[in-house]
Amino acid sequence: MAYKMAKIERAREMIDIVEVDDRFAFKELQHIEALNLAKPGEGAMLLEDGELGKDGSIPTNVSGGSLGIGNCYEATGLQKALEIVIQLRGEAGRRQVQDAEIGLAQAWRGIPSNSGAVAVFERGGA
Amino acid sequence: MRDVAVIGAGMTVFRRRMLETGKELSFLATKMAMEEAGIEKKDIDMVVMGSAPDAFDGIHMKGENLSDGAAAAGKPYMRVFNGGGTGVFAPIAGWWHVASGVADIALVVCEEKMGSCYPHPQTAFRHIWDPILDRPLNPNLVWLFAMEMNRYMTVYNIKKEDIARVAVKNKRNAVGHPCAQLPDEKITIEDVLNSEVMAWPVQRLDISPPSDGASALIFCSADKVRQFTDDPVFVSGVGWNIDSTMWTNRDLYFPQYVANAAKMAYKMAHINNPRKEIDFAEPYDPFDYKELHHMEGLLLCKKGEAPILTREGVTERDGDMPMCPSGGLMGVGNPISATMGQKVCELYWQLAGKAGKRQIPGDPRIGVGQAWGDIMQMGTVIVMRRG
Repeated sequence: MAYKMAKIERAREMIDIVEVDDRFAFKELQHIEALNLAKPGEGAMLLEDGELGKDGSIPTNVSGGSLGIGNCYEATGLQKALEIVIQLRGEAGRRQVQDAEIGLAQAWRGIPSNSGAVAVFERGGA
Repeated sequence: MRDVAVIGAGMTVFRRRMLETGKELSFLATKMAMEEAGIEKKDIDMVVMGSAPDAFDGIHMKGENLSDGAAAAGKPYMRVFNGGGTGVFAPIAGWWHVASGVADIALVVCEEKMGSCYPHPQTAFRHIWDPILDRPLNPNLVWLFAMEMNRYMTVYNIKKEDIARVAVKNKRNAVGHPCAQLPDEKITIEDVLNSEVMAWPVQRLDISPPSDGASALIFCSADKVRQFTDDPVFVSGVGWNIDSTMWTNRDLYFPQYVANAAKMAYKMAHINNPRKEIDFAEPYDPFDYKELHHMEGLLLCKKGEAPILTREGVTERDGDMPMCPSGGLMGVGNPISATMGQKVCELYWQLAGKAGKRQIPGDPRIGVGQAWGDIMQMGTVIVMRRG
């Protein structure tokens, strides 16, 4: 739904940086697969190859995510959106990902509902 | 923004329903609304759930729990709640789903199950207060509203019997409502004045009953509505507004937040003179005085004039400005958010000519519904018109 609205046809190639829910370590891998950023089962291999790092092809949770920053439920989702905004503005300091144009933030509500929410951000103008 | 129409509504019987779960109540209301609209689950683009404190049903994150009963699985879904204001705020959220263009058809379901709250639903309200400023006073809602009622009566020198008239009118209006919990054709002002004192000036029959129930509404974009009906009812304006939690720091005689919400809705609906242009209203009436208070907040009369108009019969179903033709919360029951059934579904039924025995005589074209919530601070307003 979000990709359709944002006219993103090939998520893997078009999205430069993502913040996904990582309240449990496995959820980060599961979520990037669900977001079509990796094939099912491919997440762990990408992580091993360093593709999810700051200089990789899909920088994921360079903020530190919930595992690094902490988990504050409703505030966590906005932290992810905020990180994308900071990165796209180029204001992320030591965490900055180079040349990020399109970023994605995703949140997960957890059991019992397993609901998910996604927002896509793009640097405007220039 | 796109124009938004209503194509179906549903409402369960309001009463203590211990044998049914919240999901089942949601399902019953949803099914009625879908059948009236003539649509199936696949036709619904998005779902909004309205439900007030989790503590009533006793299920934390109950929005998720109720989603299965509201045809939401596999669809964009959200829960909204602002206490008693939810019954009108949830349809406002449904409206913006369609008005914004992200959905063509949105289902709104409101559910409340207060019967499972032990020993009494009032218990849930022990935990809504500021822990430092309010809690040491050990407040409960009845004595809080007793202060507001007292202030309102004092400022305008209102007699208790003029307030009791609202309870009598609404419980009589509820006769013939298929969902009503406390309809009473024979109730008199004396019955109300002789009922048990809860916290002066509030007596037992000044208060609406806690209840279990659900209601549902289906919104449709204006460009699709002709597929469903030739005589649609449209949402013409919405408004919502919150005041500070510092209820001790404002004069309780007038609900300014309701007036702010009403002005927002009237502006959107291009209503310049609400007293003349609005044909009937469903002001929120969990207590009888609140109907009067909210009638003034909705700018449907001058300040202090509501009890006089009520005494003169203006607000009766066959009066010039009917108030709570559904029977309101006082007559039909008060399962908090599910009172969308009286406050918003009723506007639709009245404007579509589907209100049965409750139908307002004449030709009502514009109605306003309102709810009130949080700690005496939230006003939510919706205006509907016949197409």
